Amino acid sequence: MESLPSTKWRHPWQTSPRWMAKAKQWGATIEPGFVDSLDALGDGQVLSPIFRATVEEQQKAGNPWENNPLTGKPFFSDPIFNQDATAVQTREVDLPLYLDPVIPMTFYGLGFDGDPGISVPQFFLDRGAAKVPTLQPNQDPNSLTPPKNLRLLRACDLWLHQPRLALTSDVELGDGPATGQSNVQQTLGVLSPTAGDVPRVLQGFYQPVSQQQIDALSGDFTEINFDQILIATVYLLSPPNTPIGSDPDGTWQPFVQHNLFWNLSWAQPQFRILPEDEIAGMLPVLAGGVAQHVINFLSASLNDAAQDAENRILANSLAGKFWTPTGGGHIGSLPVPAVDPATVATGLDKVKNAAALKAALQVQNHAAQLGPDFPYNGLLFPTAFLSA
Amino acid sequence: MITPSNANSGSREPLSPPARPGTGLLLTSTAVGAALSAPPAGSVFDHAWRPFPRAQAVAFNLGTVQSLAGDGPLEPKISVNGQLVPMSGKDGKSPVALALDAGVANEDGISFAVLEVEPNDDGELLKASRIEIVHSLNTTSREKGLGRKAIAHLTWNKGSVVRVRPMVNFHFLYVRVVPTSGGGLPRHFFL
Repeated sequence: MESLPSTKWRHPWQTSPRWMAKAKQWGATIEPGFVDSLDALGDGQVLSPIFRATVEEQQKAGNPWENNPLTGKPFFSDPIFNQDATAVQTREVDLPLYLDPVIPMTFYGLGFDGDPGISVPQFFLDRGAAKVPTLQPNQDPNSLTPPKNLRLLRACDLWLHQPRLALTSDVELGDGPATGQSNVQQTLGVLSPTAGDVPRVLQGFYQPVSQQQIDALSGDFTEINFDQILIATVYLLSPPNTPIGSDPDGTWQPFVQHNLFWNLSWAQPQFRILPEDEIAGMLPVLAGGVAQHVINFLSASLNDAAQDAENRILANSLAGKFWTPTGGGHIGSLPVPAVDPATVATGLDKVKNAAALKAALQVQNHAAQLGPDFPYNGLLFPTAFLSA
Repeated sequence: MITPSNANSGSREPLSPPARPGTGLLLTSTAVGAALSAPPAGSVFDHAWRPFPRAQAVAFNLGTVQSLAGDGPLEPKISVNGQLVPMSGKDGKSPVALALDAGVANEDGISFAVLEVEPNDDGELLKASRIEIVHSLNTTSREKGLGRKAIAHLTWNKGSVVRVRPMVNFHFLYVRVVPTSGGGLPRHFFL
């Protein structure tokens, strides 16, 4: 017998993990969220991200794959699909979140038997997990004795992948005409997203991709052509005294730490032709000569040219930003504490002291939780987009 | 909670359990059997722009929009039999419903309720500006004088709406940005 107690409002991106007995794996469903996007060339669309899965994978997850809820006909009922059953099973299909796809999750370890580079939230330390112990020099990790009633911890990140246009920069150093002086020419362009890439949900270990270090004078430079944002992290806590290194199963207890709570808007800066005065400064004339002071001047000019080129890349970056439409609010954390806990006072105003103490306790409670209470947090609008 | 059977009362009916607050399951055991009851799952967030499906139509909770230096907050209108009516109804208490046309949905069975605004030359929304909710597939605009924002996602099956999902939860602040150099298209932001 199973039933659900009264729950909180299910916000967009709300993640619900469950144990899939047939597949012997943990899976997650995500309450549909929408992204209202606007790219650098003025094209916009509203989409619910997809999850790319195979038929076989979804069947194991318990999705019966019988009838398409939108058409009422069986999936792949067209005769062309009946010729090769294997191809149907392994065929990849893009499933929008509003079709409730089950996302099979792969977990990484943290805590006592996990990656020492990943910190363990206090929430789980309070519930029996432990940090990675500090090894003595030459100590065998396998010789460590786990604490009594230790609970192992695993995690899986779910994030939103948003393909986008990317800035390219091509810098050429060439000889100038007649005078033998060198010119530096930088050409900025736009690179399309990878073919077939669409806004989608990915799972695993989320590592924000950092832009390669800009070496503007080395030739070609290309920005990464996607943005990413963490949706949620699903944690699994084992029963006490589970053997070290165990894989999670249905006896483990799931928890979800959300990072997104509201539907999103996303935009890139517009790609525009640079004004003439900016272009004029990009052609320093370098003198060719043998005197030391001239060589030093050359080096300095090259450095200036490199910095110029890098500045132009940074100023014209097409990196996109996500934000939450909240009516023009200027803060992302909701609700705002009524009293700044830093001002906990011990003066003569007892009412003020009590309010400050209450606010401090609220902050302390929130720090020990896995996520914020309703109305949660929002993402601030990047005001740089308001520049004409 | 176990209900006493009250065997000494002869033919009297078992006492009903007293009403009690709570969010969990209620198990009632009586002489005639056990009953299990539970409150409806999920609390409600009665937010701005919240959609309510009707027969071939959808109504909304009141949502407003205003620009930085314009009038407002302004209430959108919905076309009802060719006449624009405030979305909260002429009396402000009876929300009007946006009529839906199955032919608008795309091949995936998706369509949108879209807020359309027509700012003035300065990009501001005034009381006389057209601010209307329409049923459409167009959710963006490249025109300087027209801004669009999708507020609800509609899923269709066999000519009927099977699911309506809200896409926004708060009143809007509208800002239009028109590039002053280097080309580019006007941008309409609903913050």
